[in-house]
Parts: sequence; C-alpha cells; structure tokens
Amino acid sequence: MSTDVWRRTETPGAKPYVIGDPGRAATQLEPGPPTRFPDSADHELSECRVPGAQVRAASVRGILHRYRNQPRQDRFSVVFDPPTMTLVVTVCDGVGQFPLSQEAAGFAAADVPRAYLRHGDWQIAVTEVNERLKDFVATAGSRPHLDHVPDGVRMATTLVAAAICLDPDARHVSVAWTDDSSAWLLADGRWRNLTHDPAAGDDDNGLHSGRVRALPHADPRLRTAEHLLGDGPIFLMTDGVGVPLEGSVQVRETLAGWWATAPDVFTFAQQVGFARKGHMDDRTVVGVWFEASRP
Amino acid sequence: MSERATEGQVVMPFYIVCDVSGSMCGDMADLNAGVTGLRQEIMKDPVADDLAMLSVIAFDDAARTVMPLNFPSAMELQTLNCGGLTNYTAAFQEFHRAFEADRVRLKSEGKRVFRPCIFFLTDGEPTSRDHLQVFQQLLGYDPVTKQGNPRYPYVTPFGFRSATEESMKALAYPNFGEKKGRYFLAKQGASVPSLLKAISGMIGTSVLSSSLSGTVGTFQYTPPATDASPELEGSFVD
Repeated sequence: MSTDVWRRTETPGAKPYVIGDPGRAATQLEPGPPTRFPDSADHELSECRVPGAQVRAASVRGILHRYRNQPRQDRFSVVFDPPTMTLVVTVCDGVGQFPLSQEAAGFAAADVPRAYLRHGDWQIAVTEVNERLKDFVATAGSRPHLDHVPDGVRMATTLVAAAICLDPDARHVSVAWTDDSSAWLLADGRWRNLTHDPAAGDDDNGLHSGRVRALPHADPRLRTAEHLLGDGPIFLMTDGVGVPLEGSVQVRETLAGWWATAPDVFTFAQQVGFARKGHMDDRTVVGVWFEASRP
Repeated sequence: MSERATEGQVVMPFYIVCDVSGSMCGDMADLNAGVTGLRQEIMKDPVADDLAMLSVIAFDDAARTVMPLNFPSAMELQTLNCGGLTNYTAAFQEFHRAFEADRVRLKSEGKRVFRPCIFFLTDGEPTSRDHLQVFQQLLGYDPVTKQGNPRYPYVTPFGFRSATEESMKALAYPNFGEKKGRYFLAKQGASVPSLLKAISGMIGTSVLSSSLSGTVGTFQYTPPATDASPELEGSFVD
C-alpha cells in the first residue's frame, strides 16, 4: 500500500482515514452548529445479515455541507424479500442546488424498494416513484419544517438501485440508475463499474460540468443492466465515492484493500468518509459481501 | 505529494490578467498588494484553498504568465513590474496558451477541470487593434453553430482611469446563454489604490463563492455582484 495512505490518529478530531493528499479542509475544519433540519443526522449507519450475504451501509455528511451548515443530502435503504430471496438496495443523492433535496432522496430511497417488489421491473417501478415524487415535492410545504418552506420549492435526487437475487444457484443482480450514482463489483482486487455511463464525466469540450438529470423529471434518464454475480462483493454508491473511485488508481487500490472483506460497520463508515483533497461531497456506500458459493 | 495522491481531483481555474503598462507604474505597489491580499484571503478558507487554482498573467507590450496556475497556498508570489503599451491581444494569446497547457497538464494528472474564469484588470484603452478579432478566434464560441472554442472562459473585466465602457463591455463573456458576462467600470473620482483594493476584494469573494457554489460535481462560477462596490459600476453584457 502506498505511503500516501494512512490512519491519522495523532490529531484530535481529524479524519482517521486518508487516501493521498488529504487537503486542508478535511483536516482543519471543525464541527459547526446543528442544521435547521433536526431529522437529518450527520451520518447514518446500518448493517445486516441475510441468507448468503453480509451488508454494510454508511452515509457520511460531506465537508461542503458541514462547512455551509447544510444537511447531508444522501440517503439509502436496504430491504430483504424472503420469498424471492431478493435484497433490494437503493442509494440516492439529493441534488445540492436545492435546499430540501434530502427529502427527495429520502422519499426515493424509501419508495423504490416498495415499487420494485410490487412490479419486479425497474422501468415501471422508477416511473411510478418518479410520479409519486412529483406529488411529494408539490406538498413539501405541508410537512413540518423548522423554517418556512416557500411555495414551489424544488428538490431532486439521483438514484442507483439493485435487486440482488441471493439464490446461491442463480446469484445475479439487476441494476437501475440515473445520472452519476453507481454500482461496482470488486473481484480479485479489481473494480468493475456496472453502471458505466458514456454521457457522464467530462463533456465533449474536455471540461467538467457535473450536470445531472435527476428525479423527479419529465423524462428521467434511467438505465438498467443485468449481471451474474460471483463471490466478490457489490457496492452501490453516490458520486461522493464514485467520482474518486473512477478517477483515481490510488483510491481503487486502497478501497479494494479495505473492502476485500466486510469491515465492522463503524470502521466502514470511517473508510467511506476518507479524506482526499478536493472531494467534499456527501459519501454513501452500501456494500454486500457474499458467502462463498457452493462448490 | 505524488500525482497518485491527487488524481481525480476537481479544479476550478481562475486567471487574473493584469495590465502593467507604463500608465500603471505609479500603482504597482497597490497592484502587488492586491494580489498578495487576494491570495491570503483565499488561503484563509481551507475549502476554497483545496478547490480553486489561481494564475496571474501580466501584459504590456507583450504578455507573460508571472504566477503559474496553482493552489493559493502553493503559489510562489512574484512581484509585478510595469512598462510599455497596453496590448490586449497579447494578453488573450497568453491566456489561451497558458490555459490549454494547464488543462492538458491537469488532465494528465487525472484532475477534472471546470471552465476557466478570467478577471481582466486594465487602466487604459488597448493599443492593439485586433484584440477582439483574436479573442473571437482563440476563445469565442457560437452555441448555435457550435463553432469556435467550446472551452471558452468566463471573462469579467474591470476598467479604470482611461478604460472605456465600450471596451470593457466588449470583453465581458460569454455574451450568450444563462450566465452572460458582466463588466465593471470605475466611478468618477474613485482613487486607483482604493479601486485596486476593492477589485481584489471582489475577486476574492467571487473565488470563494464559486468554490462554495455547489457540491463537488456542480461548481458554478459566481461573478461579483454588479453592486458589490460603491466605487465600481457593474453592468451586464447585452
């Protein structure tokens, strides 16, 4: 492992996991006052075991949101359906330009598993969630908030979801995604992006814009894919981790080492929040580690 | 720190293009102090210092990159010196050369580069005649025909002393789309030292606001507000 990767323990309050240059923000910014959104914790963790798999999930408030006293806008959900042996994982990234996008992300994360388990089809499920999300957005002002919510307030979220069939004789995954949230397989130390989007990343002009077409949308950019699964873990994540994973060999190597096996959930959360200069977005990762297939 | 340690990083490049022609010779101490103060102001903010990169280009008869593009805390300050004419053409040619070289270098290091921003400071009318033609050839873009340079910069000019509104308005860019350029002209009676201090503050605020404008994937150039200083009149390009 590179000497640029280390656990920082000597500085109180500093982020303990660093990959490469941590930058100044990750190491120097201290916690600020609480946000105006009392239902939005800085970090959210979950772990579970289902037949054939271990799950770790962590959502970490990004540096920019902490700095600007804004809430974490990523959300996730993990649901298991025993009759079909299906694990439904959903990860949503609220669009930062809208102040209530965490509500859109939370709604989508909660509603996608319901819709998928009802319809068994991503196009139908996400279309339904998209329509219901429009209604949810329109009624934002009727829900309790500390501060006044103006009429016509906007919110939006990206989405990546996976239905993982855990039947050991037919283990496979069906993935659906919009925009830049992503799903990855880790096998033999190598990462494979299951949600590669040629339209993402740099624009044709060689500059980066980061534009997304998030939900709710009149014409959502939903893509789907089916993949057989081996014994390697699968990860769903927001672009807070997906972007550095895609763009950095060092991040890929480091996370491959950290996540070859399932860490304890608290370690996992610290690792999801690794410090790296310039990467200040919210971070959410749900990892699913499979028990070895039968010979 | 190795390239591996920063690969994948998002970068917002800002270029400060300064007129150092002969008419500026009495203002060089204030101009140098403004650049120093701007760097210090951005360095105070660790978030902006992690995201924004600054470069300083000086022009008179010719143009040269005095301080190459770098993070503020990593910049090596150089003293700006004066003398010569006011060659806008050379300034745009040097920016074009410098940004293309910076962009290629940063992308080879695995960084993601946002659209560049130019803060253009001048106290006089151009002695070059072809600067608008050169700007259009090197940097201009037509969103309808998609001809020209798709990596066109945001340009925010600041004019004082002999600089005219017509000249500043012609430089503000883009002149299309949702984020049309804006330009600033000194009000009557404003002293140059005071103006340079105000411009430095406006640029600093713009860089800081741009760095904090969104999530990492969606930073937006936040130009100075048109009413940001009582000593400068801000206007939008038509």
